Amino acid sequence: MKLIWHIARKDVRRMAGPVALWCALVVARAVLPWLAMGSAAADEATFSFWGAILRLMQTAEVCVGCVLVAALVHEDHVTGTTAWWMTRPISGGRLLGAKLLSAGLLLAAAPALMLSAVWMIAGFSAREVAAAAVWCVVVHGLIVTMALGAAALAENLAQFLFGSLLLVVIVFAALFGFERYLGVPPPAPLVQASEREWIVCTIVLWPAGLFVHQFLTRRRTRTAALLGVGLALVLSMGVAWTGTSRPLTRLGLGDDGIPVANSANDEAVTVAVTRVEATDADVAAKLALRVTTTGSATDSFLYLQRVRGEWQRTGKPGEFTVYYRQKEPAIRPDEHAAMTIAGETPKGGAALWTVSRDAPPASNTRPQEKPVGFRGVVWLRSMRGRLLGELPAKPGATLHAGSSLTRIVEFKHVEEKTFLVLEERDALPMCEYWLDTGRMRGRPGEVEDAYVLIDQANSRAELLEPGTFDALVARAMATGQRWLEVPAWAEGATLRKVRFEAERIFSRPLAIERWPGAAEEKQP
Amino acid sequence: MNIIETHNLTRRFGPTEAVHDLTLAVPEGSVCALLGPNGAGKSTTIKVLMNLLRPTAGWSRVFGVDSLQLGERERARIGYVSENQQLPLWMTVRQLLDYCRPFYPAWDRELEKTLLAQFALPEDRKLKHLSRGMLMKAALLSSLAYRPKLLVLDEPFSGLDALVREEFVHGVLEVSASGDWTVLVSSHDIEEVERLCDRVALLDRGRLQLDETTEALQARFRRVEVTLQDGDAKLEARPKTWLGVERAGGLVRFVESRYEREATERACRERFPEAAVVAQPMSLREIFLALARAGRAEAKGVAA
Repeated sequence: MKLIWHIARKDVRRMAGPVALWCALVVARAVLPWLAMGSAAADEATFSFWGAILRLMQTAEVCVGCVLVAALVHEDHVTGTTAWWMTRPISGGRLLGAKLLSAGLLLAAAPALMLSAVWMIAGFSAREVAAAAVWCVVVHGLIVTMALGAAALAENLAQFLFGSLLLVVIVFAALFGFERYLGVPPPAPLVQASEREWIVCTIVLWPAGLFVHQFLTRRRTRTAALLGVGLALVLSMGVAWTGTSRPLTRLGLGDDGIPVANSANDEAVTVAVTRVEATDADVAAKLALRVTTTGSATDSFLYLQRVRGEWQRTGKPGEFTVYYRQKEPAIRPDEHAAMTIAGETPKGGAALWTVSRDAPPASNTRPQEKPVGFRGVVWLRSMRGRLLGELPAKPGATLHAGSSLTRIVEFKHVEEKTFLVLEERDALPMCEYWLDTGRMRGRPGEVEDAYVLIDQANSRAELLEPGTFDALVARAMATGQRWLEVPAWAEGATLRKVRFEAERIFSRPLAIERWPGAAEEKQP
Repeated sequence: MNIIETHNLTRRFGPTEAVHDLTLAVPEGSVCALLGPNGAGKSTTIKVLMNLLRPTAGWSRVFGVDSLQLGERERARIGYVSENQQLPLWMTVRQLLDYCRPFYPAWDRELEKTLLAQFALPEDRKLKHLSRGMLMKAALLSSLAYRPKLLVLDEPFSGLDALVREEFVHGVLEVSASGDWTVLVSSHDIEEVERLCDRVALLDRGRLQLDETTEALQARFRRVEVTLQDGDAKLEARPKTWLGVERAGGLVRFVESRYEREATERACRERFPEAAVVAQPMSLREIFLALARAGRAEAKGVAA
């Protein structure tokens, strides 16, 4: 280990200058949109301009990062017969360890450390900084891993660039091949891993395997042959694989065969089917669920989000897993059915939920049977709200709470409507982009902001729709503008910002004895 | 004990056979020169020995360990200097030595200081700013300071001027004299190696032409000059051990490759009864050239 550190220290000293410049680029991508998106009301052109700049910077960051990885590996070549280390008492395994260590330090830990300073200045909480740093290290680690694989096989930079280009094309082709499987999100937060992760890991781990093989054996021809075999396998799997995207880890079943999630706050919530409605579609139906919250859950800043629903057809082993899919209605026969559930903000501790099944699954491959009845489980997430603060509804007013910055830019009058334009900045540690509904995805836990306009003088209050949010997301920070439609009396009122954060997830069993229409069909 | 052994070692690069069926042994404590013209297979042999290349057939051993299995322990006892080695040119001489030191438990700091002074290397200069000669000396220094049991020098004199060569050879001689080291040095420049080695292996087109001590080699090679009295000479049925036979007027010259005074004189008398025969010792360079020429002539004859 001492010698691994010794080699890694040498690499760090060698690469320190170029890596420092690269880190400056990494930090610039985080800070630039934040500084550039000032309080002036930005139009679509401004957003697209800065979006292009950020994409450019991101491309440069990835390309330069990959070249640095190549330089790091080529500092001690693992191909050819002229590398200095090969005749010294340095084993391939030791060198491999040193390269991984220095790559980790220089290309994952160093940028994460530098960005942490930026995030702390931006008001991120310790939890958010940690989550963002982990995400940063993981993303950089994946890119570095791919580049390591290509660099280990290349004898020089030209070969590396060509090889990397080839690798990128092939990996994207492989991902495209698996695209229909990758669109399905894991069905529950309690599921540890799904085939989606497996697919991505396979595609990424394979160049890592090549890297290790080349370091340990230095047999370039054989490594290149493995590369070819790996490519063929991954590509053919993408085309030919007929598997499903079932989660690899399933939840346990209760005594009655219904999956049971670890639930919290059990006594506080009751969920029941209150209404079943047939719809125009052949088999679609709507369920109305009543969610009743009692005890500690009855709070003015609490509401429930649907996380997942899972259904079993009565008397049949087939399982209808509830997914929300944005596109491609390819529901697999008798296994999955896409469902959406919509809810209303609870008032007085009760909410009416609507569950509707999507279009018939795979109707072109199998006639859809009308379900007789269902038993199922619905998973819900309670969202606890806290008041971030309030600010007068007038241009220039600013609210700063933690990483959340809200500034009123101006009132805009478009046709007969009035809009409040807000400049917003916030932490987005996991760097997923899902801002269109005001919900911040990619955070450690779900977050949703709500705005309430209060006119105390006239005892008026209005919960505002989240509105549109045009944002630039760079390096765990979202910077953008939100347009909220406000009533005419908004000017001079007070704007309250309430942040709902996920509190806990729990499940409730549901049963429907007879699906609408099923009874009639059974009649002769 | 043999520090280096090869048995039927063959290495091919596609259709080209760089080394063919090489069986060689380098005893402990010897300084062995691997000689041969460019493309003879010297560097390939050394690369196989150092496990930089895999043999196509046969095997090689260093310290009794199969070259393919050479590990950190064996490498810590081997010093390797090659003209083609890619040194970390961004380092200074001092940084290079500091970097090397932890890998060698037997690193001798006193010897390092001595060699540093002896080679007159500027410690704070980056390797990329050193002349070629200086660079080779830096490489040699980093390979000598831990007193390796085996020193392998692959074409160490290429591109060095006479003065630097002298210093380099002097350095190796001095160090090898100070301990029981085994040295394997490959070169096509026999003059420099001549002073170093006590054993010679000659390669030509991948094949071993000879492998023996310089003493034995120089003892069995003689340049023979026959001065004919009557101008008559029977050169047709000459012994195969006579190489490079040439006649100029009344003078016949050849190289006897199995010289034994009485036998050679007898053979001469049989062919040139009235001639005066003079046999002169040869330098390694002359022997090397005679063998190389003979090899080429033989190849031409086979081709014809």
